[in-house]
Amino acid sequence: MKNFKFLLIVLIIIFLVFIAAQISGKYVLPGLLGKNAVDTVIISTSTDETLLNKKAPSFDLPDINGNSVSFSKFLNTPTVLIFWSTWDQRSIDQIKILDDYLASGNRNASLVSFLAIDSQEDPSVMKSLIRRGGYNVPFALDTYGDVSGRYNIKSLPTIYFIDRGGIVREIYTGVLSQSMLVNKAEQIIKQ
Amino acid sequence: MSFYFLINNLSFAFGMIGAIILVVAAWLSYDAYKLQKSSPILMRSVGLILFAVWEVINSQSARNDILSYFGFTIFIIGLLLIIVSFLKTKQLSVNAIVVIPAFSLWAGHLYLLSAVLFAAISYLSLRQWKREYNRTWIPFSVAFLLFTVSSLFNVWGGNETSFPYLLSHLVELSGFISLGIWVWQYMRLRISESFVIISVGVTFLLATIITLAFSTILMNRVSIDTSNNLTTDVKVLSLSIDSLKAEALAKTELISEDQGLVDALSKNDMTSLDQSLARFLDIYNLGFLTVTDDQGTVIVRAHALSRRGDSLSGERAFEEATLKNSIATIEDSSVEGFSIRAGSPILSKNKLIGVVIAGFPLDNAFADRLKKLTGLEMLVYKQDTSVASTLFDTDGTTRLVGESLLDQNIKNSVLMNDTTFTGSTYIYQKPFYASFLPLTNNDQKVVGMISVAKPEQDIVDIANATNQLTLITVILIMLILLAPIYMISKRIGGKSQQ
Repeated sequence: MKNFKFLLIVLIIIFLVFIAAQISGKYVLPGLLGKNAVDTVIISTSTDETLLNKKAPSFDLPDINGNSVSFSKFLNTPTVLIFWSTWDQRSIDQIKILDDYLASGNRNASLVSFLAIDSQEDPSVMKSLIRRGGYNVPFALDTYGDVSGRYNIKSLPTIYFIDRGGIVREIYTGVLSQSMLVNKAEQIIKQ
Repeated sequence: MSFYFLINNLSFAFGMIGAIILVVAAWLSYDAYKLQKSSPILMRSVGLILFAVWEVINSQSARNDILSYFGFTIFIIGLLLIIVSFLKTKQLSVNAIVVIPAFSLWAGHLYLLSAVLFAAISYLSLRQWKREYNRTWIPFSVAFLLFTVSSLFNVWGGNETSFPYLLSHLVELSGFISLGIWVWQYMRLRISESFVIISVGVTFLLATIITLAFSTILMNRVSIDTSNNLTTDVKVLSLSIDSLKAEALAKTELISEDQGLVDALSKNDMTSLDQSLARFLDIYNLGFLTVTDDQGTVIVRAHALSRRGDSLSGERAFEEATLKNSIATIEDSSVEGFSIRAGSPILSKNKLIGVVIAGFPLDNAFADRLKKLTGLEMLVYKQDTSVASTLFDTDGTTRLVGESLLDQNIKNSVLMNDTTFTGSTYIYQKPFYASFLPLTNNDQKVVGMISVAKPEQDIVDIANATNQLTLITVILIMLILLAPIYMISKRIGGKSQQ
């Protein structure tokens, strides 16, 4: 009987705590749901995986200074291609995240080649944004969208992970956080 | 000192007080073990020591994941040892004890687990009271019940100044007081042990107070320095904005006077116009460049070629240009958003044939650039709503823009009174030291704000590092002093017996 009383007291206290926390505001068990559960962003993706596990299409594009950037340059090096455009805010966020990653001095960043391919835009527009943002990322210009077409780009940003042999190992549509970028870079180095 | 700093220091103090009480309780348990040689009592003592270690780790607000996992593992092992010690003890006839400290953590699941374990120990100790008809267990059981409640509050999470967090700490402190009452029932009966324990306890307590006082002074100093630096940074930023306005104005005037552009516009030669504007955008390093006709209808946007035909006739930069004046201002526009905008008339034979509007968007790229230069977080506000920032959400992919600033002091200072504000505030529910600067248009009306911010956690981390160092030093000194204190207590104990 006394044990029952004790349990009853504990239950009443738990109930009061719940009520108090509810009254206190917006903290509706975020701890149990996981900190980010409420803020989870669902990223709509429409990834075309036609090229997955196939040879990546080659290209030859001008960089920001008009010099040629050829795909052959990246052979024998794990490569990450980011298709983006200045009018897409999420693309710019991805460039910022990549810029931070490259500036972080992460050891793996030097083992992987990164190239951000600006899709179907006038070079002056891209150059303006890069200068304004101070982004220090290797860029190439796909002004007419030929390369984007060969890579079946349907939404931006789209990120291709290509191994040393030039085979597409992963295609990701949406923004990658820096930690995800680190993980995927590590994976591509190991392949 | 901000409320956040105060809470951080109180949290440290509570943790240290809890650790002291737990060590004393562990000592008593060990003493009981020496008399009984009972393994459950030894387990209880070890469990209490592990809790004390966890309290110390937890009170340092460890941000290190490895340390947090290590600490919580110790904590759970300690709780389990205490539970097992109760279950294995058939009849507890000596004054050995069980205690539980507090905790804290990041995962609600673990807090819930802690709450269950605390409740179990509270129940077991209550059962022990009934079995032994020993009322001294009451404060112990109450202490555990309070720890259970404290754990439940922590399940809700929230930041360091949220109601559940504060309540959790208050309840936890009440639990430690109850535990202290329980410990004192036994300590007062033992002169020599009491002497040692009181000496050690008081020394730790004084050390905690001194550490807190020292770190508070340090934090105040760092806070003042940070505020001063932020004020300087925001003033430099103000100059940068003015410089960008002047730059936009000068370049717009140059472009509007270009004869090639005037000819192309006069002849309605769109190809030449497109090419000229793309070249200007590139060589003048502008954020955007637009040409309208004399009615304000967009003919070309060099930065967004497909977007034309809309009207800018309501914009201040355009209106002033139609009066044949060149101006630079800050205003919102449908395509470029909130931006520094300069307008200049395109004249042919002194007749207005169009307007050049160019400038720099106050967007995320702008904020990113300034962060690179200053190392500080940057936010741009249109009125009181953020339109650009360098802050990302915890998912690491979503940029934090679109929040209205709630701090009324900032609104009054910056938006209403056109003055800068520097101080502590919350941005996206996180405490920051920030400086806010008003952004004004050409009529000197405040249209927004720009802010540089430094997370308060950076400053708290400095204080925590100082606390840790001081604490380690005090522990080392205590260990050295422990032997002579113990010898003296033995002699006192011996004399009192004679």
